[in-house]
Parts: sequence; C-alpha cells; structure tokens
Amino acid sequence: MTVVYLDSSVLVSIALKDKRGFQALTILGSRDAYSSELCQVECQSGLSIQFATAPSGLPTAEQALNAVLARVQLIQITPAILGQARILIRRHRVGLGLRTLDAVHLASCIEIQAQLGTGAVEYITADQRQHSAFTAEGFFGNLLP
Amino acid sequence: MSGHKRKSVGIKELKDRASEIITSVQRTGQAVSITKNNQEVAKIIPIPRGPRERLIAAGLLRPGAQPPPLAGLKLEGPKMDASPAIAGILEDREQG
Repeated sequence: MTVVYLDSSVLVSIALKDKRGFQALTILGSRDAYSSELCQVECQSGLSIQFATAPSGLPTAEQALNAVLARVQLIQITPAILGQARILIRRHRVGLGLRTLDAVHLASCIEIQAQLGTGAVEYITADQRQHSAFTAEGFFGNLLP
Repeated sequence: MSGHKRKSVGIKELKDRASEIITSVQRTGQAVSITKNNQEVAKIIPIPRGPRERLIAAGLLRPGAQPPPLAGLKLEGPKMDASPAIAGILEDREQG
C-alpha cells in the first residue's frame, strides 16, 4: 500500500474544514499520511494570515491544526534531505521556478521513496508549482483546485 | 537464550542455536547481543518491515508510537474557505 505525502496547503485545508481538505481525506482513505516537519511552521503562517483580521478565531484553528498534525507522520529535515533539496534547486530553479521550501518537501518525498521503493509515495497538494516539480520527478499525485 | 527475557548470548551458544536465535529475533522484533568474554561485541537486529519502521531505521522519522489515522479525525468548528491560508503559505514559498 502506498503512503501519502500531504503538502502544508492540504493540511491547513483539513484543519479549516475547507472543501479541499475533504477532497484530500477522500483521496487519502485509510492510508498513512506523511509530511515534512517543515509543515508545522508553514501551516502556522497560513493560519496567521487567515485570521489576520479576526484573530479571535486563531486559537480554535490552531487546536484543529494540532489535532491534524498529531495524526501525520512528520519527516525530519535530515542532511540527506537538504542535500537532495540542493540538487532539486539546481535542476528546477530556473525551468520550473522551484522554490526553497518546495524543494524541501519534494526532497522529503524522494528520501521516503528511496526507503520504500519506487511508486510507494503519492502526494496531494494545492500548490501548482509544487505539483509541476513532483510530476517532473516522476511522482504520481493530485493537485487540488 | 530462553524466552524473550534474555537478550544476549555467548559465541558458543550462538553457534549451537543460531537458527533458534534468529527465529526469535524475527518473531519478537527484539535485538540480541552477542557477547565475548562477557563483553557485548556484536548484535543481531531485525530488518524493519513496515513503512514506518523502515523510515525510523533510516532516520527520517522519530521513534515513538504510530499516530492514529488521519481518516478518523473529527474536527469541531465551522467549515471555512482556506484560500487565505493557502495563499499565505504560497506567498512564503514565493520568497524562497
């Protein structure tokens, strides 16, 4: 059975009960969810923007995010992942416009795949540019609209 | 080596009971240390099987209990359009 890598854009959608979050949960099914530990900071940034004008809603959203993250297996940012991310930036920074944080996510998937085998990882993201990079590296996954 | 309590064996016992010892490592998932002159000198460790165990062995996941499945999560609160949060995340990435 494949494992599923969830981008921060998807995790924050699940926490906020956005329709993209429900789509992601449907695709995920009973499979294990993984993400980079980087997602904790990215999701907090997203929530801070979401509630910038209505901060009273932020604590509840943070609780929801914590509940989501407690059910996700968080990949550590190891030296191997940073090295892989550098390779990805060299390969895709100009052509695809791959950014640093996208590269860390993609490198995390590559390192998971190195351990579990080709085709063992699917991804779900709401980031078009990240989706293009995943596709370019041969991953199968879903871009949520 | 008897049962699951003893986790070390001497070299003579290893020679005599290698098959039994390795079967025990496979079955229990527990490593067995090999001792020489009462000093631990080597270890027989199980090869991790499941995805999580393999990723822990590779140093990609921290050891610990497996999180419950995300599919079973019930969240309180209203449904929201997460577009501002997603835009915030993508804006961060734009800087990178």
